[in-house]
Amino acid sequence: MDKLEQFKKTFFQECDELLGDLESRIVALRQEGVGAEPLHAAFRAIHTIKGGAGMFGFHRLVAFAHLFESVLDQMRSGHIAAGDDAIAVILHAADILSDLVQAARSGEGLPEHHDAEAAEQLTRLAGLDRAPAAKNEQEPQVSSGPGRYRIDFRPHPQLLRRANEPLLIVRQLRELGKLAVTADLSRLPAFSALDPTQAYLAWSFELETEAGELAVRRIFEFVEADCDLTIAILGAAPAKVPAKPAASALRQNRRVASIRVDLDRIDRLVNMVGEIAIVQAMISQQTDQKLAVSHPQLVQEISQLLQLTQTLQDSVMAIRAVPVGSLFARMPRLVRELAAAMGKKIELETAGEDTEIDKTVIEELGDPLLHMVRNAADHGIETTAERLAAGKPAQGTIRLSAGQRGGQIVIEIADDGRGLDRDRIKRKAVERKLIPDTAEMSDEEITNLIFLPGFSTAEKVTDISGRGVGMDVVKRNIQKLGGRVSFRSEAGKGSKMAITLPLTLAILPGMIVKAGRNDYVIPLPNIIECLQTKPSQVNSLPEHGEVLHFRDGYIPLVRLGAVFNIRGAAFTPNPLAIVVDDENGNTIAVAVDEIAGQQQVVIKSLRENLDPIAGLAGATVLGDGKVALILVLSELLDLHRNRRSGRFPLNQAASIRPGPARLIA
Amino acid sequence: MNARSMLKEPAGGSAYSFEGAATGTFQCVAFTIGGHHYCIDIMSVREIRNWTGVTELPNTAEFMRGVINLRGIIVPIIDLRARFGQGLIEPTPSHVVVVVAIGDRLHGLLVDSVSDILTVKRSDIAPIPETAGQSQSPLLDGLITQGEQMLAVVALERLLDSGAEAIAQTMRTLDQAPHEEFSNTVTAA
Repeated sequence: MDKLEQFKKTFFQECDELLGDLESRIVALRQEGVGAEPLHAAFRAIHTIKGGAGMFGFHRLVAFAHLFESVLDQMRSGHIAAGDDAIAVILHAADILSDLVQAARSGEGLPEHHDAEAAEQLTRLAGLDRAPAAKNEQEPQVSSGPGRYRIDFRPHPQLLRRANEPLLIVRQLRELGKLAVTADLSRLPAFSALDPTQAYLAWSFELETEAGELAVRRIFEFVEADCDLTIAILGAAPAKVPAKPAASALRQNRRVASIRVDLDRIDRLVNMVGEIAIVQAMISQQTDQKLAVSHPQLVQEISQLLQLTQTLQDSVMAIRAVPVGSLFARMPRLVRELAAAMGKKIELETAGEDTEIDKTVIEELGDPLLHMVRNAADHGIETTAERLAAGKPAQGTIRLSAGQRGGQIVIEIADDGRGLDRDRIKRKAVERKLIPDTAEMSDEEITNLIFLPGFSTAEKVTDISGRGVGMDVVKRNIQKLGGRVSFRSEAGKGSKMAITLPLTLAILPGMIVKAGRNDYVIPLPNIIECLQTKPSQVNSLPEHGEVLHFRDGYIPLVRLGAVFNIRGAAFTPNPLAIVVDDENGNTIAVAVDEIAGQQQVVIKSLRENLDPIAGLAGATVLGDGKVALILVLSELLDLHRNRRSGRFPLNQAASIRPGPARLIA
Repeated sequence: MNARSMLKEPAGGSAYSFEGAATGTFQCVAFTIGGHHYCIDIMSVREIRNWTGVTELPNTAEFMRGVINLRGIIVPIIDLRARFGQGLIEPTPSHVVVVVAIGDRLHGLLVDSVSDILTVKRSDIAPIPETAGQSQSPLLDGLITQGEQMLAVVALERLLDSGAEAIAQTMRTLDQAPHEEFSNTVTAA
């Protein structure tokens, strides 16, 4: 990639962040009012986008951003009231800005009129509201007629450090009209004392131009904060231009230094730290009582190393964590557009944007979340008429929140809509032959129907939702991330969907079990109970295999040795059973040979060098350097059933890549 | 993490695709399995280590012995003897695992021992004679003569080819070792 492309890529990445930020700032603006930090932040965001866009020659983007920026600027100076109408215009403008950025990125042209309406709205906002105030303040400061100006320009060393060139400014001024330049050399030291990084020169210009003061000021736009600048209409008293607060705030922002790092590098780091932790564990295991007596110093240092390693591991994990806010930022627009398309009034509230989640999870979470919000807006919230008839406020609310609860991240999407119509769901399920019409089902079971593939209650398929690719996909995606989805709903009052995710994808609390000579890891959160069965508890049914009498019922007993075909696994009549929730709503007992302990395991991918293997989520390396395989509980019952029915799934596990290998052959 | 990024950059996957082809020489690592001599392209070899045991994978082909931890990367181990249909190796600590890059994946090949590193003229690699019942996807690329010895050049890419053979073979193994299940069978009264 050439340098320019690289810069461009960075620019667009930055744009994404800024736009996400912008959205939330504008929403905050409505709550906190003008003059507050959100407005400055919004201004900064747009200003930065404008600057970058100018650099790469995205003129349309620059023009729009400039208009946008000036409206915000006037809002900041109190010339435009931040009323609901103004906010609506600004929100819409933010959407258009985001479209323009996307268009610039993809290189596709947008239709001419795409930004026209928003631009017009902005212009009107700027024009109409400014009219009364303009006369006493705006006009004299920014005159647009021809005139003579005296400009005193004294650069700070900062200006040079930011790679601005006074000469270019002089040239630009000269293009405006007749220019007389006087250089002030008074501060220039003797040559021997000259520090080339300092700014010693100052200039006075006298400019005769037709262009107007605004054009003159624009030349100094990017250096204003880094110089002493006075621009005076000749004859009038020089007015000092205050340094823009935005510019100084921008500088502060930059000081919170951050760098972009390739995720690959971080993964490598995480991996290596994981390895160190393992070696550390090995060393710790060897420090026994005897060593403590013979080498007390050594043992002490080893324990210190242990602490350091743990801190290191935590810090490295923290690198991968990003605030969930970037994910939420996409939602307001979605809700706005959906509400407009469906003629509903919907407000989106968000909370807990600062909650941090593993970067990989964030990426995978985007689509499911989008889907759930869409569902809430489409199925959950009623039309305004329906809401009023039900005695609810006309405006529906969708609440999106994130938070950390006991080592897990919980993301909730709640709406105050109509809730689940369980009768209708059941009717639909029967219609689609997903369940027999005689089925007796609890409320919870009916709720779970929405997670069935191909299920949708929408009366007609819209482009918003209702195509039946839905909740099952959401659930599967979340499960893939090691999370769960739960759904609660009360008819008439609304629904709440909760996604529970592990804090990090990289580490899993697990129980280490043995079968044959191999070690396996069962995710701890899924374990309900571990028990030593009695022979009388285990029975075998024709066609169903073994079942275990557990609490008041019978649950399938899946022997790990059997479903995994493990050489040398024990087959006792009273196996050790781990009772687990298999994430598909089943409680199953997994029979193993031995329980070896509990520990946090660093998850390693098997995919790197192998094709997927049924029943395995990944692997980890134990303290003794051995590999343990992490189980996917949701696949065990299938393996068990297939085995019973003689359909033995053989994994293509010679790590066969079907495509290229064939071509060579 | 990508295995490539950590280990030395492979110069190419196939035996005939890199500089050796230009200079006309072929460098290979020679090893033995059950008294037979084989060799693989040296450019594919990442490291050679002793057998230390594996963790077995469920429901995989017989030749897939399991996985090992290679400095944080999980690497599958292929029993080359079993892959050639000659039964499993009974590995001891003196058996050797040759870690190779095939495409962008790492694999360990379990062999009896590594014997030599050879440089031969590319033109000295003889084709495999046509024999009856030749496989659709031959596992060998050619033959090299070294003094009295014949070495077969292993076609690495095709080691991972599934082929009906491997599956059929595994099905046989599964049939041979059915699990005895204890049962207090409930008979319908």
